[in-house]
Amino acid sequence: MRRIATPERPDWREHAARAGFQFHSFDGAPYWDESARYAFSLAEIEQDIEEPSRELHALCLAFVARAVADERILASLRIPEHAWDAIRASWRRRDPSLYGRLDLSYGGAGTGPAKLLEVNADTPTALYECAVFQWLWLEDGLARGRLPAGSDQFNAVHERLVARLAAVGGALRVPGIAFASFADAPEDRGTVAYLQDCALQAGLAAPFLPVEAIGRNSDGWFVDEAGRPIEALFKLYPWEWMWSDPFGRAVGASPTRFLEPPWKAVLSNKGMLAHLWAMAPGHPNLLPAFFEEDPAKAALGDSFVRKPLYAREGANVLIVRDGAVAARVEGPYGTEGFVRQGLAALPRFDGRHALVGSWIVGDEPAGLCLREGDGPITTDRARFVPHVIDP
Amino acid sequence: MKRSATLSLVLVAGAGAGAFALARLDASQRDEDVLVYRTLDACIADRVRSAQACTDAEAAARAAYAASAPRYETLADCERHHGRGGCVPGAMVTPAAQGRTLPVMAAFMMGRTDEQDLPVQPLYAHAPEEEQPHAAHGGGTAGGFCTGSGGRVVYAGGGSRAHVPATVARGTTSTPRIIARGGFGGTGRAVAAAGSGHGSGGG
Repeated sequence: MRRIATPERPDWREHAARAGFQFHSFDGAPYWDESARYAFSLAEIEQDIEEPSRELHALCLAFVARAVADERILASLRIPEHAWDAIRASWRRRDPSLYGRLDLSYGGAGTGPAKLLEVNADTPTALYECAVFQWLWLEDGLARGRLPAGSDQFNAVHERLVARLAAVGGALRVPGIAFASFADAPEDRGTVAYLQDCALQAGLAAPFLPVEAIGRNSDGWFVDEAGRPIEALFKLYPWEWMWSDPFGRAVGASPTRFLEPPWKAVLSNKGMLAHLWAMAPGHPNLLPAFFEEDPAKAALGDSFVRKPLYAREGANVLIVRDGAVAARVEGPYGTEGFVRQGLAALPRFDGRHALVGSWIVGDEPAGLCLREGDGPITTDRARFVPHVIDP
Repeated sequence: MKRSATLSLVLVAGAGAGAFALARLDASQRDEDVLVYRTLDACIADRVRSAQACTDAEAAARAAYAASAPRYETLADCERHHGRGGCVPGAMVTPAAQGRTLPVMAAFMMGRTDEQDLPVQPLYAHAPEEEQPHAAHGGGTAGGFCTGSGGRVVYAGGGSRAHVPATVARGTTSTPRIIARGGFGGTGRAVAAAGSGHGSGGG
């Protein structure tokens, strides 16, 4: 795994405009950053990332099976009781999931196994830029001779998404899936538009619906703006927020099916990291993790990362090294409690902190995205840097 | 090769516009020939059905209307679907709908022949906000009609005939649907206001 300075294409913004990539910059700073690329060997991808991702995903599913059978686990994750039935029922029905992203700390061959930092199981973003724009960047680079001939990319995300959506439509026996997010958040809207696109290619109807326009009728269906029952609803809106909203209590009794399904709430919670460690202590791809109130956390010593059970984009994460606060990001989260996780500092390349995001589509590892941050905690300011597999 | 073999996008570049226009896929459904009338007089004048059949149908639709019209929790929810001026306080229709808002009955739908054995249904203006490019003047039925169970009846307004899927023609409801909106999103807005980021729900 190497970071290679790579000249930007002078016309990449025009490429982005043509491909519908509208959130490539954030507050005037680039979010998409092609001034460098990460290069991996095929062995690094397959042995160090793809296989461990498959294994970690299987471990996650095994954890869900335990969680739905044990109220103490659901309570430990601070999932409200009114949501438990919806979660259990969706798991017992085997409601299919679409996708997720494992965030890994990995520094390349010879630096030790990739370590799972967290699981974005419910509403992962960075999807479009990974599946589409990164892929187009590679194709364009190869076509123009800007990248070594024969360079590949671990990125079958698009293909797998289309196939998975077709399978989900078949499993749920629905002619279409409605896609909901906030309409005025460009990144969310862009991600959802991309998934709509994949659904269309999978032969499904795929209308968009602002999350606040979702209605509910007296038969228990969630309905679209015209009052029509929604058979299947993708929501880029996290379950923990859904549970807190007025309609949250109606999810369990509704015939409407969701993507991600309610059982994903068990995984989109950092408390699960402590449970995974308890299930598979010493697993080479796991970091020791404990709930903040668990005295066993002392095993971590005086270097650890403290994360809120519910949080996103690195908010409210605290890094303590040798007993002193090494980094901290402010934010609105933390009221539900925290977990402590062993410290696996992100590897640094040219002074940047690199985070590997490993995509799972359906139940298969499907691709990779790399984010670079200036600090040790990856936030929404981290830039997306494309990657290649060496020929 | 570890990457997708090909990649194409249908609508992502125009996201937000094209997405709204997509209809549901309903290719396999059988259609029924139905008649749609705004008034009893229009039905009688059309002479497709007998005056008695028209009178009976209109009365049946009125009776079904009071009992089965969708109930909205607020006037705004109702008008969002049925257009400005398309809704009335529920108590004006039936005491049972006190405190709710109901769409006005804009038309009624009946079969072309008795043999079809279709139930008569009251129809409501289908004029959702997002389908009205210039929604300032409401009350129209540019989107046609919908049934109490939410089925679309596309009807240009000229003649009386329409084709509707069999599920819509037969999908009557005897219990009204109470429709509430705005039950999702509040928590996310509150959290987003406290932090900031590219997106709101992503991670």
